[in-house]
Order: sequence, then structure tokens, then C-alpha cells
Amino acid sequence: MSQQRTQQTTQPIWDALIGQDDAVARLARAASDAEHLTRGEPGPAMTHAWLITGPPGSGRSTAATAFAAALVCPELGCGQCQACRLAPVNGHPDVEVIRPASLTYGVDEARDLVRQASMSPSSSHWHVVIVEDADRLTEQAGNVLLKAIEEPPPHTVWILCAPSVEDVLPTIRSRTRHLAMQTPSTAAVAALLVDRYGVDQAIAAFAARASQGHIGRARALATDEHARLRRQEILRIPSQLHDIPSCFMNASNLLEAASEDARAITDPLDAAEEVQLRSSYGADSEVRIKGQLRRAMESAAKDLARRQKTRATRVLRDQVDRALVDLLGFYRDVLLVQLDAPIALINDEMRPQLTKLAMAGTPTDTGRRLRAIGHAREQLAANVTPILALESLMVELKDPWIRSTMDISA
Amino acid sequence: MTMPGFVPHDPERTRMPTRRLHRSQVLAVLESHDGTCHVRRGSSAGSPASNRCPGVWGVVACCCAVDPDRITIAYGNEPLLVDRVVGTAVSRVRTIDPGAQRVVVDASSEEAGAAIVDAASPTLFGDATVIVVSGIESASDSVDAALRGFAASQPEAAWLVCTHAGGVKGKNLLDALKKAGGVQVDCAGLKRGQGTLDFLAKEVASYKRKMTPDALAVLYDAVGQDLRLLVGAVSQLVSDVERDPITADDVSDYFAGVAGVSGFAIADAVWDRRSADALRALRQALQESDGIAVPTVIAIASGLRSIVRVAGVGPGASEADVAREAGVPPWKVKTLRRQWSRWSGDQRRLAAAAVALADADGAVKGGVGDGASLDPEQKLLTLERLVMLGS
Repeated sequence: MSQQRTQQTTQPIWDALIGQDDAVARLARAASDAEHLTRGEPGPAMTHAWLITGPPGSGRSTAATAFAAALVCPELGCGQCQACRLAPVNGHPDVEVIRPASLTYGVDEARDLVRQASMSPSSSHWHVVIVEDADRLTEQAGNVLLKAIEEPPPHTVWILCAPSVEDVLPTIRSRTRHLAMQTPSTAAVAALLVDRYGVDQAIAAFAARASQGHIGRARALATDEHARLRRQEILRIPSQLHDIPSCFMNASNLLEAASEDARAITDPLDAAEEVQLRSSYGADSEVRIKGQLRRAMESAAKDLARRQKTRATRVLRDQVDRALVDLLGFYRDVLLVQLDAPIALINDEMRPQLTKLAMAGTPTDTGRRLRAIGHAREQLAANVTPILALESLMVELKDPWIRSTMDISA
Repeated sequence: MTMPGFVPHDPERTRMPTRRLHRSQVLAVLESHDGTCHVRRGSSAGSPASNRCPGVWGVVACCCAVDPDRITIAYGNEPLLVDRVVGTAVSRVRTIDPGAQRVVVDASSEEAGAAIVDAASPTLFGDATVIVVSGIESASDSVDAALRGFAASQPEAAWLVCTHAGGVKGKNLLDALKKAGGVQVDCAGLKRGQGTLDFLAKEVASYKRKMTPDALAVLYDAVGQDLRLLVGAVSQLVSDVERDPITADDVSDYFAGVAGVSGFAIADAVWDRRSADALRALRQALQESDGIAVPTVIAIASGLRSIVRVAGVGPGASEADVAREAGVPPWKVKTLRRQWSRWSGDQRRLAAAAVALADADGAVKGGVGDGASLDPEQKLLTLERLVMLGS
């Protein structure tokens, strides 16, 4: 029986993971060994703390929730039962998905989490705590989690997700079992888009290439006209940098577009949260509240506004970063054309523009441009004012040797 | 309590009116900030003869000739103006009874209602009381009731001063107080620019002094929007500068070291390629406060952005068109064009400046990437190099 289950790597719950055969095999084995453990048999493939890493969009969170579902499902992830359907949407009582909405995940939140994690499971054998974006744990928050992760109560399983192992504290890394997700292949992503979203073959192929293995981004590009247009606008930038004014204009246009997209994400969330806050204090449009309750609500509203502000900063930063990743892919293609390398282009449909830019410079120029984009991404992550980082980047994309004229930069 | 109508004044220096008027009996009341006689307050060490307050000039009366208002409401959120209204009201009551008590309560507190009722009720010896109630826009139920009670009974020996932050909140109570004879004094924050300059001019005039418009502008630039600082600066200037009217030179002499040491002054010097001035201004600014690094970088960067935008519009356009298209204030266009002309032959350096600015922003915020450091020396060096861009 158990032998048979171990080989059943194709339990339906794992279908959500695209191009991750190794990871699926390991997680399925862990889930089945987990079942052995609950019966008091040895289960070496299972452990109480996992660190799932992989590039953005490769399905870290999907893997984590699928694993959680497999643990709480009596059939190891049948994909049909209530447990399988509730676990991925944070609706199962024994599965908690923590998704830090702001820039960082602080020590207070971590303490709450430790308390929650120690509770016993209610309807299954495991209590699963998933921390998405564990790279956003502050150092103190990470230290608070250490003890809980090292020796959790017997029924608790921690699953941390992060872009790479370097993104979490070494002390956390050493207390978890590491599972690396791969970047799914273009073909696998395209097939997914066609199968699951009924996207046209050609568009699916384009979206899979353009997203460079980021499944969520691929879906957006395949199904959302607006996302495709935005991407086109961004890729037009390299051919629009003629002089300083045009560099500055492109920088401010890019930022404006990114903040528009960011607002489209955060505004509905903000509004919904504000309505929820008011109604939880009984202050709907009809009812006015007074006195202490009102003061309590006002202070909660202030707190909410602060969290919304950091979330807005994070979303904006993510949007700008995504634009920069698109630019990075574009210049990568320029470099490939310059080197005449037999590697598939991300932006194959833009070959004429790529060739034109390739002819206009040397591979060294392109390399410096790529480095400038990387530098701008680092600057954004280090809290440099976005417009400054972008202006600097545009100037450097126009003239990759600009730094050699200054004695000022490091 | 002393009799209403008896005014303890210095008979040697002022001729006090024998009778006090109610506010409704005159068209206007000349009021000073501290509630003392307008004529006396404005006087310097001049001749005593000029310090005689006639009390009433036809339809206008000095504040010393008018009874203090039973209910005063400071309406608005400019703290300086609110404080002045409260201070004036208290002083005016004290011209009647120098021993008047001041009771201060917070309107939002539930216990404050009882305190108000208590303070408003007559005392054994008839001592006068001024009740200061702050923030009546969020009055608790008990305070609301106590204030309405005060308005209805208008006690003999108590005066009420309320502050209201402005807006429509608590309008019902406000209207009730006004209906009961409450005098509402506007304390709204002043508009930036001309509104504040007008206020300053009046402030100077209240010292019976004059300042040239230039001088006011320099003062405003140097000190900023903070009304308390501005008022403090005016009082310093009128007491220290003998020349009348006070000129722009007097102000910049007086505020040398303060005048213009904002990030924007540093930025202007950088983009005018006055490196020595820029460096001096930076040093001065650093001496006053070490938290200026980030705003300074931002100010220099926004200076560059404005120059580049103006340059992008082209030289033929009129100043108004440029201002509209580049999104800069019209009065800055000339400066920005001048600054651009200093760099147009040297555009690569200007472009390099954009790179240097982003790097500097990263450095003053603690560094970018693995080399991140918070070394203050390094920060200083970065800033100094930045302001020397134009050299």
C-alpha cells in the first residue's frame, strides 16, 4: 500500500506545478512518509521544516500550498475533497498562509505566528504554517522564529518560501530542509497557458518567452491586453533615449506607468480594508460612533494607513522592478544578436529593433547597460528614491560610458 | 470681584475711558495680541503724551474700552493665532480682575463637563474665572451640556474661551455658542505666499514699524512657513534693527547663516555652478542639523529635473508656455534657463550628474548592495562631491 502510494507522484493536487518534476517527486514522497509517521512508522522523507526556493513565478507558493493540501488531505492530495480545495485558498483550519503584505515582516507579527503555530491541528494530522516571502522577515523576526522552527510541536510543519537560500538567515537555512524549484521551461509554460486558460498558441508562446518562466506574469501577458501594451511601451524606451531631456522624460513616464499599475492593485485593497475596518467597529455609513470606541477606531485606522503605505511602496517597487526585468531581457537579446549566439531570443518578435541597437554598439556597451540595469534594481531594493534610480539608469543606458567621465561615483 | 466698569490702569500713562462699552456698541475694536491697550502696546520709549489712549475714536474703540466677551471662540487650526486669541481673552478679563483664575480643560474628556460647571459657578468671594475649553469640535457629551448650560446662564463672574479646530464637526454646539453672543475669531492657517506676507506686514505694523516688501520676502524665504518662528523673527528684528523701514539687507545680515540654507538654496548654487557657495551652504546646513543629507540630495535632484524639463521645451517658447509644459513655476523659468545655459555646452557632465545623484541618494541612505555602510565620513564626502559637481 505505502509502496504504491510513494510511486503515485501524479496525485491531482500536484498538477498545479508546472515543469517541477523533481520537486513534485520529493514533496509527494514526503507527504506519503508523513502519513507513515502518523501511524508510528519511520518516514525519513518527511521533516518538520522546509525551505522552498525558486525564482519569482516558478511556483514556490503553489508548491507550498499543494504540499500543505497533501498533508491535510486523507488521500494525500486527491484534489477533490474539501481539504484539498480549502488549503490553497487559506481556508483550511490547519493550514495557515502568511503573506507579508508590506516591505518587511516584523518581530511582533513573528511572535503572533509562533503562538499560532503551536496550536494542535483540528481536523487532520498536521498543522501547516506557510510563510511566503520569507526573505521579507527582518533579522529580529527571523530570530524569533528560530526556536519554533527548530523544535516545533510534533504536529506542526513549517514551510518557508524565498527566492534563494541566501535570502534567509543562515540560522534558519540550517534548520530547514531545502527544496529548489526550477525555472519552468518555455514549452511547459506555453502548454499550461493553452491547456488551462485556452490561450491561442502564438500568444501563449510569446507570453511564455516574454515572462522568462514567471508563470503569473505569463498568464497576465497572455490574457491581459493592458499588460502586453505596457511591456511594449517599456521595450520602446531603449530606442527613445536621444538626449538628457528624453532620458528624464522616459524615466518619469516609466515611473508614472508603474505607479498607475500599482495603484490599480492597491486602491481596491485599500478601499476594501477601510470598509472592513469601519464595519468591524460598527461604524457603517448610517451609524456614528463616539467616545472611546471612536478613538480606538481612529488609532486602528492610523495603523492601517501606515501598513497600506508600506504596501504601496512595495507594490510600486515590484512594478518598477518588473519593468526593469523586461529591459534586462531586451538588452540580453541585443547582446545575443551582437554575439550571434545560437540561443533563443526572449523578444524574438522585435528582431529588427534588436538588430538596429546591436549594430549601434559593441557587446561591451551592452554589458555595461546590463550592469546598469542590475545596479538600478539594487538601488531600488536599497530604498533609493525610484525617480532618481530611473533617471540615472536612463542616462546610463543612453551612454554606458558616462561613469568614466565622473570621478565622483564609486 | 471688582466692579465691572472699573478698570485698573496706570492713570499716569493712559487716560482710561470711564465707562466700558459692549462690543455691539462700536463698529470695530482695535485689539492687540496680548489684550492690553493697543496704544500702549505699540509704543516704544516715546513721549508719554503719545501714549494716551482715548479709548473710543468715534465708531472705533480700543480694546481697553470694551468689555471682555463673555464667550470667545477661536475657530481654526493655526496654533499661533489660537494661542493669541486665548491669550487676549484672558488678558482682557484680567484688566477687570487681575486675579482672574484660568481653568483649562480638554473638551473631549468626559470629566471636563463637571470641571466647567464647577468653574462657572459663583465663588464665595466672587473671583473671576476664565474657562479655556480646547477642541470643542470633539466635545464629549458632558462638555457639550456644560457649554450649553454656560451659554444659557451667562454667569457673571466667568468667561468662556473655546477653541475649535475648524470644519463642520461640532457645528451645532458652535452655532449655539454663537447664538448666545459668542464671538468667533478666525484662526485658520494662512495661505502660503502672499497671505503669509500680508500677515507679516500687519505684524510689523503692530510694532509701529515698517519693513520693505523685499525685506519681508527675504525673511519669509529664510524662516519658512512656521508662523511662530516668523513672528519671533519679526519681534527680534523690530527690537534690534533701528533703521525704519527695515530693509532686505538688515534681514539678511540678521539671518546670515540661516537665510537661504535650505536644500533648495544649495541646489541653486550647484546648478548655477557656484561651487564655493554651494559648499559653504552645505557646511552651514550640516552644522545646523545632521539630518539634512537626504533632503539635500532630493533638492539637488529636483533642481536638475527642472532644468532638464525646461531645456526639453526648447528656447523659443514663452516663459508661460515653458512653465506650463515643463511643470515648473513661471517665476523660475528665467533662473532655470540661465542654469541650463551654464551647462548646455557640457551636457555629458550634466548627464553624469544624474548618475551621481542616484548613487549619492543610495550612499546617504546607508549604501547599496554588499558595500552598504553607514559611515558618516563617507556620507559627508559623498555630499561634498555632489555639491562640487559644477566646478
